[in-house]
Amino acid sequence: MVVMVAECSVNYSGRTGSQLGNGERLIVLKEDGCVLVHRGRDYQPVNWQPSGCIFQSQVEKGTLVVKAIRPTPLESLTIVTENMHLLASFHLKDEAAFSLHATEEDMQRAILVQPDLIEAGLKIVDFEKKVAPGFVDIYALDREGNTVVIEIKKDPAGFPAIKQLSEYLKHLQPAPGRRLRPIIVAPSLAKGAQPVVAKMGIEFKQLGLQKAAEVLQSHASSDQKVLKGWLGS
Amino acid sequence: MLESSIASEKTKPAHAMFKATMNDARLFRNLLGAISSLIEEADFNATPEGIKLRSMDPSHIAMVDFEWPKTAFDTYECNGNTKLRLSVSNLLKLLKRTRSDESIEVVYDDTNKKLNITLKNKITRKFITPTLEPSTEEVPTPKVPFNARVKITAASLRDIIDDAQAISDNVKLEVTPDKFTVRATGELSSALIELDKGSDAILDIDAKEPTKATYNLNYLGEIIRAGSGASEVTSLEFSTNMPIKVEFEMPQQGRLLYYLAPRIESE
Repeated sequence: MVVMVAECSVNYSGRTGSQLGNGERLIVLKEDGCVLVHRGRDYQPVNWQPSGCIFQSQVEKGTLVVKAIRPTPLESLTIVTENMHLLASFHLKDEAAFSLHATEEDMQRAILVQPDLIEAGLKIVDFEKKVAPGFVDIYALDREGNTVVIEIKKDPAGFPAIKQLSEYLKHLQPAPGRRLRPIIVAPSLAKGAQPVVAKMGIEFKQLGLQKAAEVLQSHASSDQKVLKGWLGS
Repeated sequence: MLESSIASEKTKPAHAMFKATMNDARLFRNLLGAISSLIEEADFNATPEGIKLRSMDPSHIAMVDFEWPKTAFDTYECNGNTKLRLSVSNLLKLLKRTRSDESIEVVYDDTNKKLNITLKNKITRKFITPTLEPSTEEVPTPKVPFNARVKITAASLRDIIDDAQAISDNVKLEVTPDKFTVRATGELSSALIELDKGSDAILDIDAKEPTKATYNLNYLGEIIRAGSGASEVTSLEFSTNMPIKVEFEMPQQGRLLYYLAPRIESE
């Protein structure tokens, strides 16, 4: 990794073009071929290129010029430095896994904001729907109008989930001519659960906590507000 | 002992039931259509005064608030407060081929929890459909101050929204005391629609101050398409970066309005 703090100008050409005049900035070149140019404010870089760029560097008229070329789509970022305040390079050793802390509720919220995590065309009707034995995590309709009953587990789903679902099914009815589709959503099925699930006509849809957290994160940064904050009592 | 037993027999409420008829069945269908744009299943509250419904879409971004007084019906009888949950899309399927020269009769009896719908013209068609378990949750009304109001013909608003939707997923509404402006900016194109106070489409503009807010067009489009099928005049009320209230004037005194949460643009 190369870290620079320098006065520089940045020129981008590709799908569009941009020019950034002289100023003092933090420039980071990473080993996977991505580049970030940060100003002294904002959390996002003012210029950047994703991983996979080819770096070219040379000294022109006594100043360092770094060019990051992205092969497809062909675009390039040229950084012309003037006053170099800091230039350092590191070999970073980092093999730790990144783990997110998410809960079943996060998985539920992820499905609510993005129902196609389960399947395209799924329409959410209700969540925490009360039926006699308890609450159905998610209650929805598929494209054909079949009733979808979803039980969410954050750990490998086994017999408790199967039992819970089959209890709910006893108290639910599909629309005339349609059927009930019980679905278990979990990172995986517990050992030995697969044949039982198959035999009972329960579908399994894989969804991990990581994926759920990613979906929530991308929606959290969305600018769409919900009505909740404005509701009276 | 005997006396009290007789007394309790007397006070025992009769089965909740209601019965309503409308001469134009298509009106009934269009109103259901206006609800179905946002929600799949809805709790209808029937009282001796009329039918009410207030429900949020599953993402809690939009709300429909709907009221049909008994005077909106040609006949209306309801002997108590009854809450029934219906699959709106399922109901619409039954009413798909409804014609405006057909009359409709809707009867609900609490004993068998079924809704009986009769469509009558030269032939009589009867549908029986089950109701669902109503939820116990009450949806409160949004408490929002409104600084700007635009009254516009529903058809013009629908055209404007269709134009905007061809370009972007979001639309920015701006109201000044004498102008209503709609902006949509897409990746390649942008649209700017300006309506002066004197425009034929505008029935009224009232703005305490210049007001602007951005809304998701998928929601707003659904709302306006649905409502314009049931009404000819729409009023939009909102404040800067606040929810919008979209109200459709109803010919027979009912109420059909929607709330939609804004998008907050990062400058």
